[in-house]
Amino acid sequence: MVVTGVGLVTTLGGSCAEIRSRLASGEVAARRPVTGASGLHVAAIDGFAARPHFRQPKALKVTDRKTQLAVAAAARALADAGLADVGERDEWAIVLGCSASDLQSAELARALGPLGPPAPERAVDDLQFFAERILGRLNPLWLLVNLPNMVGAHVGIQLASHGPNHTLTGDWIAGTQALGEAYLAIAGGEREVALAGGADAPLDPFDLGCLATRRPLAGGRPFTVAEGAAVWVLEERGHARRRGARELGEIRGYSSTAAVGGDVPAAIRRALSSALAGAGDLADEPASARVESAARQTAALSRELHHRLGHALAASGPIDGALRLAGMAEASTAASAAAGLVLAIGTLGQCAALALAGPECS
Amino acid sequence: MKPTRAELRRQVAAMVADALDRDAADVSPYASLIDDLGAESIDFLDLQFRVESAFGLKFTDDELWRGSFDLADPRWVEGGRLTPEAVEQVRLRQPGYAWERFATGIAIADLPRLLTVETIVDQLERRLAATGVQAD
Repeated sequence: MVVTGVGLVTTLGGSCAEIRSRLASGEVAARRPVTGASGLHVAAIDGFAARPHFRQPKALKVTDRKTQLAVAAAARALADAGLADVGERDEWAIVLGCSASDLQSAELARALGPLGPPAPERAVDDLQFFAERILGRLNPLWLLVNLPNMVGAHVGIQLASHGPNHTLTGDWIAGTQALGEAYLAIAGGEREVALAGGADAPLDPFDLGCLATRRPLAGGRPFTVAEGAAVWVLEERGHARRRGARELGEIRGYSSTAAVGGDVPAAIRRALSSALAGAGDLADEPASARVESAARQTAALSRELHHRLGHALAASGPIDGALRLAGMAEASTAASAAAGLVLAIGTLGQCAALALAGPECS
Repeated sequence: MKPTRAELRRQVAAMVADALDRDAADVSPYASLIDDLGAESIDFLDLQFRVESAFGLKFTDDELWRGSFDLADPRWVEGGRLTPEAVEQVRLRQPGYAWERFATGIAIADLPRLLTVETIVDQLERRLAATGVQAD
């Protein structure tokens, strides 16, 4: 299994080369504080235009911002892989991750706004009242925008890809899980080509309200939430070589774990151990020491990246991983295990980890 | 205030252009929403909501799209197709429509393809009149 293309839409650019260059020059994504949420900042992607990436622009009205970012990233990934003009896409898999819907809260608030007491109580148990007074004020397309599978669905529609189509909504780890699940589908021989990654645009008041609520649980540290998307093209190695594709690297191991009894460190250790076990030959240290060392190093790398770009939630793992792959491709010597590890940690300690290898290891 | 037919046509055409992501110049009064402008089923939900919101009306089921046909009337429909008399009537109502696409007649299943800005304005005008607002 090899990675043959990466498409990015981030606060510091739309390609690994651009982002790495801006990071190297010390740039930090522009951000603004969220009023009423001390320490919480948002970093938006200024000037992003979705229309050029849509084969059918009419679909823009039924897509939210994260879906539009995903479509753009997918189009860039295909171009990067040299697959933009390939017409036969029926057997491709699409696996994308995102946070749950932001509910288009401005539109929802407008529909709910005119209700005064005691109407809200009636709305709970009176279906006709709910339909007429609330749903009746919402454009019927609101539902289509907010269905949980829309990110994958619209990428498939815009790319005219008729194969299996999955949207994972596992919060901050969803994009990393999507890459892992696509990797398993190819490694297991089910698919020859998959587009996978994540997208999020959590700058809506509903999202920000949820993040502000969670921050005390994370110790209230300063946090910048960002828009972003990253989609990778994964291919079975023989398929890639038959068409002469450039190889950017590979995924060698993947694991997803859940914390039990609040033991998040154990979930992290198990995720990293399993992912590294897939990578196998990347280090000679004892397994436990390797995991501890890799956990510290990968966490430090991710923290720095999240500080500079902002944390794009479900897209953060795929963005992080894409930059690691680019770094490994550039390195003249074999990369360390930590350089190729991506770790995502989500709500209630769910974890996902990927072990990557650069092209020189392939 | 009574909107003129021209004003209704302008407002509806703008809604259609926006909902179907078309240039205003493409949305001529007799352009078929489906055949010429690419409308799909979800677009009709969207358009109905826009018309209802803009004019403070509620249309039931397919009222906005049905036209003035009585499909149970044998003078209008026979064997699942519009009768020659009905075809003549609908052609008179939409003189600018591309009728050549129905050279062999009009089946009931084809009726959504007859929807245009003008048919929406017709229904809108009827409803506004029924609520006491008449277009000049």
